[in-house]
Formats: sequence, C-alpha cells, structure tokens
Amino acid sequence: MNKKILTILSMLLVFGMLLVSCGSSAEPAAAEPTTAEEPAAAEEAPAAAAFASKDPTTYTMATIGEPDTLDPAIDYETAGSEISQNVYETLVFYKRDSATEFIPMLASDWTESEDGLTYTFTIRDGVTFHNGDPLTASDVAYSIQRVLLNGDTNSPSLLLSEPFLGIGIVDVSMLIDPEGGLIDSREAMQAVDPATLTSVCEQVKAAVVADEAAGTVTMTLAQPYGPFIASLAHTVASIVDQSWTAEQGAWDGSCDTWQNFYATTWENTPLAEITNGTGPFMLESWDHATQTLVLLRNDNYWRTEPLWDGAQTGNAKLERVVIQGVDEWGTRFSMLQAGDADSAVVPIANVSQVDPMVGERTDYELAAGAFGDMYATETPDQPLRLFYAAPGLLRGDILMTEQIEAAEDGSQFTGTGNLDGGKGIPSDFFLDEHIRKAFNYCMDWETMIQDFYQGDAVRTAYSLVLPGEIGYNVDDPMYAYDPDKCAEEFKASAQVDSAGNNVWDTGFHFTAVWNEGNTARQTALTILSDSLKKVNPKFEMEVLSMPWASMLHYYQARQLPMYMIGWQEDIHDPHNWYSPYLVGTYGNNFAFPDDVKAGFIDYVNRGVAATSAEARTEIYHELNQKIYDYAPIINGPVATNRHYEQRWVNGYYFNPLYGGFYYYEMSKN
Amino acid sequence: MTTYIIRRILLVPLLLFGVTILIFGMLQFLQPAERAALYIRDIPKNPEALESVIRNYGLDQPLYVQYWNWLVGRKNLTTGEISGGILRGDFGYSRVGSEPVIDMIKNRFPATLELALWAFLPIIGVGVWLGVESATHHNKFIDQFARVFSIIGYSFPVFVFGLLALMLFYGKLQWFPPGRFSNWVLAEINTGTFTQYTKIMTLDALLNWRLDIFWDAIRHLILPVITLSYVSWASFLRVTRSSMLESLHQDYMVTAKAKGLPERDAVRRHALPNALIPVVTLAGFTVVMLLGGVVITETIFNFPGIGSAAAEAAAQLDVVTVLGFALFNGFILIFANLVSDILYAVVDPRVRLSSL
Repeated sequence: MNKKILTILSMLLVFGMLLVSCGSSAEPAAAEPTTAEEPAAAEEAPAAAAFASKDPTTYTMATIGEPDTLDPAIDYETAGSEISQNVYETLVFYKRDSATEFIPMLASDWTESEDGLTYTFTIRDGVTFHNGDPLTASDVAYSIQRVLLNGDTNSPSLLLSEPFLGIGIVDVSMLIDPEGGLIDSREAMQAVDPATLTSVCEQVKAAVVADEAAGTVTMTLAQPYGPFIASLAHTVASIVDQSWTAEQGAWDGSCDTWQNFYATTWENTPLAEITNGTGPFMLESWDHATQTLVLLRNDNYWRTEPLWDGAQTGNAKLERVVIQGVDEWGTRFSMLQAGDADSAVVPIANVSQVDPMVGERTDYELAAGAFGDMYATETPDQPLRLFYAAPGLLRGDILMTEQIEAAEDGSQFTGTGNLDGGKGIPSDFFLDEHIRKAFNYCMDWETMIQDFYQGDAVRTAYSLVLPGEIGYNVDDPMYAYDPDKCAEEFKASAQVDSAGNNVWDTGFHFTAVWNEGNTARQTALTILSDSLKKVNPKFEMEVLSMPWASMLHYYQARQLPMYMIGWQEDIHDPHNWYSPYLVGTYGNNFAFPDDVKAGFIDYVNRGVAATSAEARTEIYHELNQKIYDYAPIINGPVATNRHYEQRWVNGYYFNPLYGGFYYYEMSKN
Repeated sequence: MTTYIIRRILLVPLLLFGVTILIFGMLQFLQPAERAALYIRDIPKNPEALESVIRNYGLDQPLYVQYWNWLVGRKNLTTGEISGGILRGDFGYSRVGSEPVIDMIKNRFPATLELALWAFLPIIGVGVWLGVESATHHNKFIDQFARVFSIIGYSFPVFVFGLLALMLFYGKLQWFPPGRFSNWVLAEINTGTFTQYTKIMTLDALLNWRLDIFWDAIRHLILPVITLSYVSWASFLRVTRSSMLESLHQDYMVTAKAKGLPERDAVRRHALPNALIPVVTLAGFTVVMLLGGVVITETIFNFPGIGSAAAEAAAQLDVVTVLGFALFNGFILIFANLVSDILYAVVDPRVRLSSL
C-alpha cells in the first residue's frame, strides 16, 4: 500500500515540476512570432491609458553590465555615454532622431570661417551646473583642452585630437614624439623637458580660446575637418565645470602641471564616480554591487525653449531613472513580465520569447529613414511595444590579411604554408585580387540574414560607409553570392603550387578564426566554408573559435589569414569608416602593399579635409569604386535593432548615435 | 586548544602566499597581449593601444617583477612616487568591477553573508531533520518520500530550478522579485532616510526599525534561499540518515533502551550527537561554499554577492581582482576550517583529547 502511495506521490511531484517548466517556457514558443504580421490584419489596440505603470515617476531599464567610468573625457563605451548624455551636455547635439543634423545645445549659435579652419561658438546664457556654478566660456575651453591634453589611446580623445592637432595625430604626445614613443606613458611624459611640455600645452590652449567678455569660444583646427561638428556632439566633448573638476583632483588648467594628468585612465580619474554637468538629470548613486545607477531629475534645468519642434522644455517629466545591470536574460525577461522593467536589453536569440508580449509595433522604413505608423499586432491586449528594424551602427565583416606573418608558437593557421597538395596557403594568398573577389562571390550573406538574424539585418552597398552618410551610394556595385563567378575568379588567380598548378586544381587549407561566444561570426564563417566546399571539394576552410584574448594576440601579430570582426562607428561620418578600414585599425593589419595604401591614404585625407558635402561625396564615390575593384574585405550586413518597451512609456525615439536613451524626452503613464 | 588555534592561524600567511604564487605561476601560460585583452575589449581603435597597455601595466615584465610590484608597489622612475602594493594596503583596481578591489569585496560581501546566514539554517535544519526522520522511520513512507523529494532537488540543475522558480513566483505571480531590494528602498537609501549600518539589509532594516524594508528584503531572499536549500538538502539528508542508521544500531542504544529510556530520548541524547559528527564536516564545506559565493544562484536572482563577481573576473582574466578574491576566499576557507575543527572538539570529546 505504502509503495503505491509513494509511487503516485513521486509521479505527481515530477509531473508538477514538468508542468511548471512547460508553463513557463513553452508559452512564448507556442505563439506565432509577430514579425510576419501585416498591419491590415491587426485589431484596434487598447488605449494607451489602459496600460499604467506602478510607478510613473521612475523609469527602470534592465540592461547588461555597467559603465567603465563616468568621466566623459575618458569613457569609450555606450553604458557610460548614456549617463554622460543625460547628465552632461555638449556645445551641439543631435537634432532628435537625426544622426547628421545638429542643433546648438550649450552654444546658442556658432559660425564657421570660409576656410573651414575657425569656428566661433557663443556660449548660452543662464546655464548652471548641478552644483549651482554658472557655465562660462572658460569652462568650455577647459573641457576641450582637458580631453586633448589627457590623450590616452583607449579613450575617445582621438576624435578631437585629429581635427585640432592634425590628421594622423591620435594622441597629444605625438606632437613631441611623432613616432608614438611617449604614447600613454605618463612616466615618460613627466621626463620630457619642461619647455617642450609648456609649448605643447600652449599650442593646445591656442587652438581653443575663451573670450569671457564676449561669451564666446574660438576653436582653430589644424586643417579643415568635415566631421568637426559631429565630433563636438560626441560625449567626449561634454562640458565640465573647471573649478569643480580641479577641486576633485583633476587637471587644474595649468601648463606647468598637465603632464601629471596625461594618460589618466578610468582607473585613476577623480571623475569616475561623480558628476557635475548641466544636463536634465543628476547622478544620485552608483552601486557597483547591484550594478545600479540612479539618475535624479535636475529641478533647475535651464531649457525654456524647445530645441526642435515638439521637444520638451523645462524640467524632465521623469523624477528618477534606474539603470540596472541584470546579466541573466531569464531575470530580465521576468522583470519585463512583471512590469518592473520599463524596457530591457533583449538578445536576438530571445526575441521569440518576447514577441508574443507585443501589443503594438512600428517598423522602420529604410527608404524614408524613419519609423512608420504604430499599429496593433494580432495580440493587441499585450503589454509591450516594439520599435522594429532600425539599422544600427555596427557591421560585422570578414577580413583577410594580405601578407600573413608566421605564428611564432607554431600555430598552423596557413597549414603547410604553401599550396602543394592543397594542405595550406602561402603567406601572400590574399594579396591576390582574384582570391579576394572569389571569396566575396562565395559568401552567401542572404542565408546568414535569414537563418541567423531572422531577418533582423540589412545588406548595404559595397561601400564601407552606412546608409545616410556622405559617400554612401545605393547604386554602388556590390558582390552577391554567385558560385560560378567564385569559381571563375579562383581559376583566374595567379596562385600556383611549386609545380605551377593553379589553386583551383591544388585546392587549399587554412583556418579562419572567430572569438568564442560570438555566434554571428561563427555562423558567417561556417556559411563561407560550406560554400567554398560546394564550389570545389578541394577547398578547405577550417573554422576555429578562440578566446577573445588569444584572437587579439594573433590578430595584432598579423598571423590570422582570415577572421571576422565588427566595427561600430563613433560619429555618423564616412571618415569614421574609411580611416580605420583603409589606414588605421584594420588598414594596418590588412598589410596592403605600400602603393595601394598610399593611394587609399590620399583619398581618406582629401575626403576628411573637404568641407563641402558635394566635394566629399565626389571623393568618396571615386574611392568606393576603387574599394570595390580591390575587394579588401568581405563586407557583411548591418544588424537592425529591436527596442521593446512597456506601453505606458512615452517619448522614445531612436537615434543610432545615442549611448542609450535620452530620458529628458521620455515619460510614463 | 589555544596552541592548536594559534598554530592554525600562523599557517594563514603561508597558505595565502602559496595561493598567490600559484595564480601568478599560471599567468606564464598567457601572452602579454592576451592579458591586455582585459583593458581592450574590442579590436583597439588605435593601433598603439595594445602596446601601450602592455608597457604601462608591465605585462611583458618577468613574473617575479610583476609579483613584486603587486606585493610592494610600483615606483614611478621620474617622480619616485610608489603606487599599488598589497603590503601597502592597495589591492589594485578591478577593471571588471570599475572600482578598487578592496571596495568590490567590501560592497559585495554583505550580500553573500546575508544570503549565507539565511540559507544556512534551512539547509542544515531541514536537511538534518529529514535525515533523522528518514532514519528513525526507516523504509516507511516518510523515509521514501524524503529521499525521492531531495534526490529530485539534487538532480535538478540549479539554473533550471532557479529560472523556473523565478518565472513562476516573479514573472507570473510577482511574489518574490530578484535583486536585493526594491527601487523604493533604493530611493530611501539614496535620500538618507534609511541608514545602512552593516549593508546586511534584514539586519539594517531591524536596526532602523523599518519592518516594511525588512519584509521587502525577505521577499528578495526567499527564492535564492529556497533554491540553495532545495539543491542542498539531499546531501545533508543522505549523510545524516546513514550516520543515524549506524548510530541507531550501536550497542549503547540497546543499553539505553534496556535501561528503560524512552525511544525518543535515546535518539535525542545518544544517537543524534554521535550521528552529527560527519554532518559538522559537511556543514563546514557548506559554509565555505556559501561564503565563497554561489555563482549561479547569484546570477539568476541578480543577487550581488562575491561569487558572480569573482567568476566574471576570472572569465575576463582580471588578474588583480582574481588575486584579491583568492586572498579573501583563502581567509574564509581557513576561518571556516578553524570553526569546524573547534566544533568537532565540542561534539566529539575524543578529538578534544587528541588535539590537546
């Protein structure tokens, strides 16, 4: 008898647990994803008033991780720049959702000289910092000078050093040692003779001059610089209060001491966890343990006139913003379900879990460059709203090294190092234009977009830049998946083995690398590997995952023949793409032949120095053709964003250059 | 006894020295550029960045130099200023935590301690009770039920049980939220209307005499405590049960019963104390596990203890932070072993005699 009862009880227990499990996880999967819905089929959505927050004064964002630092001169990641853009302000700001139109913010207006070298900003009256200090022209000059003199190549200071100090000068120390021997070393900088140090400081101060009486700041550039205003809208150019900043232990503005503050990093800046800006919110607290940052409304905010039509004026509507790092997706999902998170970061792999909770949505229209009308989904009583498919600023590309170095630890990325027997590739394999084009034709990005991104990505033209930027031309040619052309290019290649047999006959073997955990990169390389094998069974491209740190090591040593990587732009300007891909970060590692590199550098330098949009467009269109012909990379799709929020939230709009949200324009029912 | 304790305490620096040497020794398997990846999270936008990180943090220096710098600090050759050095009280800066390592431990340990304090009693109390009941009702219904119940918990992966509990009791029912406290409590802390004396929320709530905050903290503790308990009961049940069964069949139990001692008293006064010796060992391990941080439970319930932080630091090769946590955990381990040894002496007179 006892045994029977026991069996029944045990089964009930197991069954109960399974029921809980199914109830929790199967429900979202059972519902149809909302992506395929037609607006016409949708029902009327319930009125917004039907959705009311438990606490309409506090906005809670469930995100991943926390900022590196809150010092805007040093922080170079989106979590920190989200705080900076709500707490600090810049001279100019993006006009609502536009990434290329700018409005005066802490400047009331500005003028530009005809030669494009001098900009004069009139500083806005009546603005105060959170501590009550009035904003002055000297604060503005100090803020920019501090960024320039701080340097630090892991900070965004290079966005300002190029326009002010000269193209190619990525750090102030290069004014003393152009070879870069002093870069990021405070110790070495302190050992430089005082006269040289003073003269460098004075050069920087002469480039940014405050006129307190006139209430203006004049900035003189080293050369005309097309994206200068865009650079000033970046949070690195946030304006800080000079006296308060110096009181905290940062640079005091003196040319005698700047070397003691050179290369301050996020480990030792005194502004790492405190802020004093002019923005609509103030930092209330940052608790590292709970990864929680709280912003409190600035009740003395200066703005009395809207900065664009329909913009907010006066104090922010939200009283508090809680930005909480919740690393586990299941926890963030539960917070959305419970209504405790007003929005949350949703990984692409989990969208099918959240889509059934969407009651209304709007889709981004690429041609119009804006979201369409909001419409109800097939489940109009659900609590979430979805902003779907706005293109981001990050593109993943497959890169090739044209002159591969041998790995000192014997790692065999290039197999035997020659084509004999199809067991390797020579070090100059990708120096061959036909090989690079063959790989481009063999890459099936459409499969990647459908299978991996579930349609949440778009392929842009084969120019390096993104849609909407100067230089982007939708009519530019691009490589599409074409196995026949892929085969043709391989056959036309000059790559032969020691007996003179073409690569098509010998086959090849090499290893392409992706960093562990990044499944998008794994998928792309696997698709390419499979396509190559289909074109010719002798083509073997091994796909290998590597910890990020190891990959960085081999990448830096130019030992990887092929790898997949991404680039996220800092400013919405073509220079932010052409320069790294052709000259700097990646350009260096492609190991282009000198004449090719010189040709690219010429275009890049002329493109950034031209100040009129027409002149830049012309230069970049020519460059695009050259890039297409040379085919240095296999350029991938741009992932699009999904923003989910509770339907009681108002005022969200998408600007791809924001670090996160601009909470001033947002409110809750 | 005192000599014994002093001897154990004197071993502490030696053990910690060994632990740190071991961690530093493991570093030789990593290239300087691999360790620099901690400071550069994506392909560096500036080609000079990687080299400058390696140079500035001395990642290419011989290991003994790096160890010495970590131990006594690093001297700026131009200004003569010394920075860092754990012997100078500077445990370094945690890139993963965006704060000094010592602050990271100070900020996170109260959460771990609070979770351990609340989880310890249910884990041991219920586990031992189930074990005793199982043994005294050997092969009866309660024995079978307790074994099935706890073995299911033991076989359940923590992350599955935790996530299911979270989805049901928070996502659906909204009873027990994740984290340590609600946003309204955070607002009270930030505005100074609630003082954090110890950073142990339940204790602070009582010290402030704020029962609403006490209840809020309890609500946040319930799910992690249940998760930790449910997956740990089987161990205690099994150890207690087998140990009790053995004790129940000892001669002294027969003697006790023959003397006319009621069954209940015989179990309580004779069988249980003898059966508890292995339980004390297990309890020691459990305390170390709880105080060292429970990574998965902390991550699922967004409970900001030291376990998840240490795991994150290790994953990102944040050596300075890993060393800080290793030292801290070393202290905990040695302290817990010491307490466990003393408890042995309390429950088992033979241990007391032999160690003196």
